[in-house]
Amino acid sequence: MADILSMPLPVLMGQITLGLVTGSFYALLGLGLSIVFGLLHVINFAHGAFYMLGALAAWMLAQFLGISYWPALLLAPLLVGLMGVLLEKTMVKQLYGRDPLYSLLLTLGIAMMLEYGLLWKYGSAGMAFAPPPELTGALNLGFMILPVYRGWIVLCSVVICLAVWTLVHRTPLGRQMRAATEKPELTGLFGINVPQLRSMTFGLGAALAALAGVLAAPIYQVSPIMGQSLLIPVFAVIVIGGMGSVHGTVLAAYGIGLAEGITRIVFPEAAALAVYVVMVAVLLLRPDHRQRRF
Amino acid sequence: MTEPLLRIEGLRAAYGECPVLEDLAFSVAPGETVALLGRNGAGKTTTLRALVGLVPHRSGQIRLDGADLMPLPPHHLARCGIGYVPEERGVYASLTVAENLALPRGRGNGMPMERILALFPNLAERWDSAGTDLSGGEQQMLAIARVLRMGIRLLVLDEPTEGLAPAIVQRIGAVLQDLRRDGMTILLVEQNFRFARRVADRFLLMEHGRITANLTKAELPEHENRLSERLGV
Ligand SMILES: Nc1ncnc2c1ncn2[C@@H]1O[C@H](COP(=O)(O)OP(=O)(O)OP(=O)(O)O)[C@@H](O)[C@H]1O
Ligand SMILES: [Mg+2]
Repeated sequence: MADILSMPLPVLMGQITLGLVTGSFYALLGLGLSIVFGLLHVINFAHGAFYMLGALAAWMLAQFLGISYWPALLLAPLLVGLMGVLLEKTMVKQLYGRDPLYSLLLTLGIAMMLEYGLLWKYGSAGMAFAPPPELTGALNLGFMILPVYRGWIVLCSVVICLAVWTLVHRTPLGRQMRAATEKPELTGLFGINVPQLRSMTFGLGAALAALAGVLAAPIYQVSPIMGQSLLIPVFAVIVIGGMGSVHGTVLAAYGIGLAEGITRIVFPEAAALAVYVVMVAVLLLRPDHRQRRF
Repeated sequence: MTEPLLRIEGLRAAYGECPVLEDLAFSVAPGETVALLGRNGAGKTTTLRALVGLVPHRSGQIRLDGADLMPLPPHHLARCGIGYVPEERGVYASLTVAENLALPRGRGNGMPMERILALFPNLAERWDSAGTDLSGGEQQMLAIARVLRMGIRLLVLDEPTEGLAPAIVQRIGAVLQDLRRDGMTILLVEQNFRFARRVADRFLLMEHGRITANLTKAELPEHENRLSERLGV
């Protein structure tokens, strides 16, 4: 075990940066997952597949159509978001009102079909995706060297988290989403088309996951199963954040990301455990902390 | 006689296998305030919930101004001009008073906010409070104010005075009379007979899912003893 205080500052800052990057992905993925859970009561196991589809779509847009990173950053989430709307309207919707286990199994099945279907076509080796030239290289901040792309991920994630918070808490659409989350039956009687709101929310969640996928493409290998290992810790993050709360999810995501980064310095073998230890502690000590609210 | 605004015929509703309403029929004329009275469990709440489509198993006819409401999804009822204030008031805990009032998407000719706040001055004071921080009376006022924002033709209220202090009951009675003077049509479920007598023009007695008496205000004194007995008041 190394002593955190005897760490050279650049190493410490390097791990903190990595922790923030991890936290950024947890936050982007956790937001969609928790909003969808709040409004639809669906535990969406296809969320990791949507993340993968975002990365794969960016790779395909570049590979086959010569479309660069910047347009892909918009196009891929748009395409995956539309696919999400379609999936909700044709399949997920059928299982509302039943035990959440049904939709969990459905989305798990969808994820498996997407992931293993694409695995058969693309294999698991992973495809490289180059970051745009503007975002390569590193910045010397004096106390540390910051790879530009890492900084970009964190910046993007923070901006999007703020945008989602604003959408949910400061716009008429967000007001309707919060209302329908709390009292779905009654909300329809105020002239709000709740089924449509649910489709849109599912699409929004898918689009956020896909956006995270495009951001991840240049630093992780693009592979059909890239979402699998990420999804489970993200579930843990939203449980810690209080299932359905925007700021709870974001705080938990960055907190856990940083905790993982710091654990990696003091006790590297345990880094991946950090999130589960916190989740189990939260579930045992504050089980009522789960709330179906934004 | 004028065409009724609301006409219900042969309405049946059930929870699972358990029928609650059987062949229910009544109507409400434009501008009329009708009180639906009955003992606990008579099916009053179920009648209102079936009217707004919240009871999944229902059949029969529900017409508003001649238009068939049966096949419409819930969000279309608001556009037809029905405002429903449920027994539990339905104030959103996670929305502020302002957000609760801004939520409805009705016909676009809702009561102006100035008039709403003149009817319910308390709401202006609690403007930024969360729904959970309101007293029972404030929640009831918010629930009524909220449907008035939708530009409704028919106001449907389920026990609006339940559990409220006499001063608040007075206030709500005054508001209903105010609305009535403006021509609003009101369907009111009440256990509080004294309150119902003060605001309603017509009284329906409901027993075991059927209407068993239909009395105008003029007919009331003559039948009052019998009615009180049937209501158990
Ligand atoms: N969700 C439900 N599931 C099953 N049965 C129900 C349900 N809601 C009501 N009931 C039953 O339907 C009958 C009518 O209930 P309803 O709530 O309509 O009565 P009510 O006249 O409004 O009574 P109260 O004065 O107590 O409000 C009762 O026998 C009740 O037990
Ligand atoms: Mg009732």
